[in-house]
Amino acid sequence: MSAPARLRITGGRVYDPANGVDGAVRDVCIEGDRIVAELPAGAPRLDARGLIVMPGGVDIHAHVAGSSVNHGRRLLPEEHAADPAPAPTLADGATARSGTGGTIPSTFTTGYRYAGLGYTTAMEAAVAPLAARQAHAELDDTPIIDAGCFVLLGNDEYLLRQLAAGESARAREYAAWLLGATRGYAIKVVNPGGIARWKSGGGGGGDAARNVTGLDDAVGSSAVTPRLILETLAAAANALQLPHPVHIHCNNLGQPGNVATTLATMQALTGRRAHFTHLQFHSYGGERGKGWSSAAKQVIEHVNAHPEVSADVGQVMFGPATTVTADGPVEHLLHVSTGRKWVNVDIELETGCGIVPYAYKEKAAVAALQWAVGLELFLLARDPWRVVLSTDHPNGGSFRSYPELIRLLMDRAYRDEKLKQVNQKLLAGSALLDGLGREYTLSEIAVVTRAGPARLLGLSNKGHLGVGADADVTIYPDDPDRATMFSTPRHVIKGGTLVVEEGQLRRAPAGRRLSVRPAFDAAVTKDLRRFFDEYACVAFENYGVEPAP
Amino acid sequence: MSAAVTLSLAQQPEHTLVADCIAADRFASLGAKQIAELPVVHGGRRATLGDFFKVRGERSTTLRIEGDLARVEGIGTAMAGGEIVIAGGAGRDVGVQMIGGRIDVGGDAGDNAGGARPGASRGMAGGEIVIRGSAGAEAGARMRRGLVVVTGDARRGAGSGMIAGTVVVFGKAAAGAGRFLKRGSLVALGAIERPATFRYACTYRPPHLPVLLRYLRARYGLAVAEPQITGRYARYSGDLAELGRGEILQWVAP
Repeated sequence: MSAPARLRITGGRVYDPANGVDGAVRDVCIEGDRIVAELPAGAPRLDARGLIVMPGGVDIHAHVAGSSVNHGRRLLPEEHAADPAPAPTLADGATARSGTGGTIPSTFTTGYRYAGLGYTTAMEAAVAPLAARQAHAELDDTPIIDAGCFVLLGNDEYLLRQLAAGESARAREYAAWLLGATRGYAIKVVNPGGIARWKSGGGGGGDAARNVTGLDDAVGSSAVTPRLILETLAAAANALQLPHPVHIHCNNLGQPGNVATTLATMQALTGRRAHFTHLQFHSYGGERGKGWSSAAKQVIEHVNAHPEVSADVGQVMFGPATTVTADGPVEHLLHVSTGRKWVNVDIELETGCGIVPYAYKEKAAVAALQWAVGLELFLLARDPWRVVLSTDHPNGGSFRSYPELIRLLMDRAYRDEKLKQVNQKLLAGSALLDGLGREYTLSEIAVVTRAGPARLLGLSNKGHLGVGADADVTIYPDDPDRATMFSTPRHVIKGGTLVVEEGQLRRAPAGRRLSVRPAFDAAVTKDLRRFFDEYACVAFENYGVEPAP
Repeated sequence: MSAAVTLSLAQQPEHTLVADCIAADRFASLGAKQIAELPVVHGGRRATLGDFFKVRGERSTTLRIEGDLARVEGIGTAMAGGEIVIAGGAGRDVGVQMIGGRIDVGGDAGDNAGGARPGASRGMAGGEIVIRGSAGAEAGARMRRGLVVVTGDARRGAGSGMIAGTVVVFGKAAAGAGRFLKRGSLVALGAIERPATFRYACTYRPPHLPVLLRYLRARYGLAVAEPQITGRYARYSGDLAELGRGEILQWVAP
C-alpha cells in the first residue's frame, strides 16, 4: 500500500474525546491530509477491528531541537555508543538516516522514535531567539512530527530595559516582532529575572544574589521584578491573541518550599490565561536545607479552581535523564550536588543554558518524592483537559517513557506495587501514600496525550478526528498491559501518510513547522535597530530566521 | 557445551572491525551458529562475526581468539565474566567498560584497553586484563575497580582519571600516566613520566604489592623479579588537582 490519498479505517474502537466519541466502533475516513465525513464505496480500507483508534499524540513540552539540546548531544557521547540507532528500512527504497539514541536522540532518530510511539506533533519548549535558526534547521531534519518553537523571553536585556522604563506597550510590540522574526509559536518564560541575575554574577552580592528567590526581587533596576515580567508577558500573549498563552517555568524550580512561589505566581496572574509547565518541579513543600515534602495537593487545588490556568506535569520517571534548561542557576546546583559534568552557556543579551546529565533512582529520597508529586498532580487533577502529560523530555525522563507513565496512571495495582519499591523517606503526607484509587480511562489518556495539549496549544486541526482535522491517526493494539499498548502502535498515519504500518516504520515524510506571525507596530523595529547596533553580536538584518522586514 | 569457543580470523578485515559483541560471558548460552551471526561493524557497515571469524566450539565461558587482530576493536566490551585468551595482539578498546572476568592479550593492545567509552564518567568496573606486550594510550583510564597489567610500555595516559583500582606497568609509562586520578594505584616497575601534580610521600614496602605480584607470577606466569616483590617503592600522592587520594608507586631498584 502506498501513501493513501484515500483511506477508510474500519471497525476500530475510536477514542476522540474532543468530539465526544468514547470507544464507539466506527469508521474514520481520510482523504488527502484531512479527515473527511465519508468516502465512496471502494476506497482502500485499513482493517482496525479489535484495535483502538486515537488522534496522533501531541507533546506540549519537550526539548528536541536547537542549540541547547545540541550542546547536550555533544556532552553525552557515551549515550550514543550505548544506543546506536540504525537507519530504518523505509518503503520504496526511500532514504533513511541512522543516528544515535540515549536521552537526547539525534534529529532523525527523534522523529522516527516519536512516530514509533504514535506521536505526530511536538513542541520544542525553549528556543533562544539568537539560536532560532539552528532550531529550525534541526527541525527540518526531524521527520514526521509537526513542530513549533516556544521562544525564550523574560530575561532578555531589551525586554528588561523596556520594563525598567515603564514601556509595557513597546514590550508587547517587541514580543510580537520577535515571535515573527524567529518563526516562534508561543512565548516561553523561564525563571523570570533569575537568569538575568545569574548572568550578571549577582553584582557582588554573593550566592543569594545570583538568582531571584521570589516574585518581588529586583532584577537590575528596582522597577523590574519577576512579577512585572510575568504580568507583562501574560498580558502580551493574551493581547496578541496568540493560540497558546504564556508558557511559564516558574522561579525556584526544584527547590524545597517552592510551592509558595508557584502559588504566588498563579495568584499574580489570576484571571489571565497562563500555562504552567512541568508543574511537578514547582510543587514542593519544606525548606531549603531542612527537608522536602510534597505540596502537590495545594498546587493542584489552585489549578482545579481556576479555569484560566493550565499545566503540564513534567513527570519524573526512574532511569537516565538529561536536565537541560535555560535556568542556569538550577543547573549549577545540580552540577555541584551530583558532581557530574555540565555545560553552562551565556546566550548573549537573551538568556542562558545549563545542562547536567542525571539519573532518577527509586532508592533516592528526592527522586522518589518527585515521582510521587507528579503522580499526585495527575491523579488529583479534576480536569484532564487542563493538566496534560509531559516528562519535560529529557529532563524528567525521555519521551520514550510515556507508555510506562500511562500504565502508572491507568493501573492502580501496578502503581501501588511500584510505590512499595521506592524510597518512602519523604513521602509522609503525600496523597499517593494515603492511597489514590483513581485510574485513568482510555478516554482520559486520549485527553492528556492528544486532545488536551492540542486544545491548550490552540491547534484546532490537531488532537481530534472530526471532519477537517489533520489526518494524524494512531491505531493501537488493545493490549491489557497499557505500557505495551502505547509503546507499540500497530499503525500511525501522519497527514494522510501511513508512516507506521504493521508496527514497522515505513515512511518518513517531512513534518511541518507551526508558527505565528502577530502584527506589530513597525516603530519598535526602529528602536530595536539602535539597540542591535549598540549591543548585539549580529546586525539587526541578520537576526532571526528570515531577513528582517 | 565445549571446553572453549575458538574464533580464528579467516578473513582479514580491510577496515577497522568493531567487534564489541565478543565477550566470554555472552557466549555461554550461544551455539556456534548464533555466535557467527552476532553483529559487527566493518568500516562503518554492518556485518556478522561469521563473515570474518571461523567459530569452533559453543556454549562456553572460555574463549580463544587467533589471528592478526590489529584491526579488531572492542573485544570484551562490557564483559561480565569468563575468560578470553587472545593469542596475539588486539586493536583498541579491549575490555572497555568491563565488569568482570579475565582478558589475556598475548601481544600488544591498542588504545583505551580497559578504558571507558568516550564521555563516560566511569570505565572498567571489575575484572582483570593482562597485556603481554605494550599498551596504547589511556590503558585503564577512568577505571572504577579492577586490574590492568602491561608487561611492556604504556603510552600516554595510563590509568588517567582512575576512580579506584590498579594499573601495573612493567615497562615505561609515558606522559600523563595517572593524570586526574582520584583514588587507586598506578604501579610503575619501570620509568614513569609523573605528572607534576603528584607529591612525594615516602619510600616504603607496600604490604599489598607482594601479594599482587606473586599472584601475577603464579596465575599468568609473568616474569616478576624477586627484588620487585621484596623491594621498596616510592609513593607519590595524587592527583592533587583532583581528590588526591590515589598513588603512584614507583619501584626503587636496589
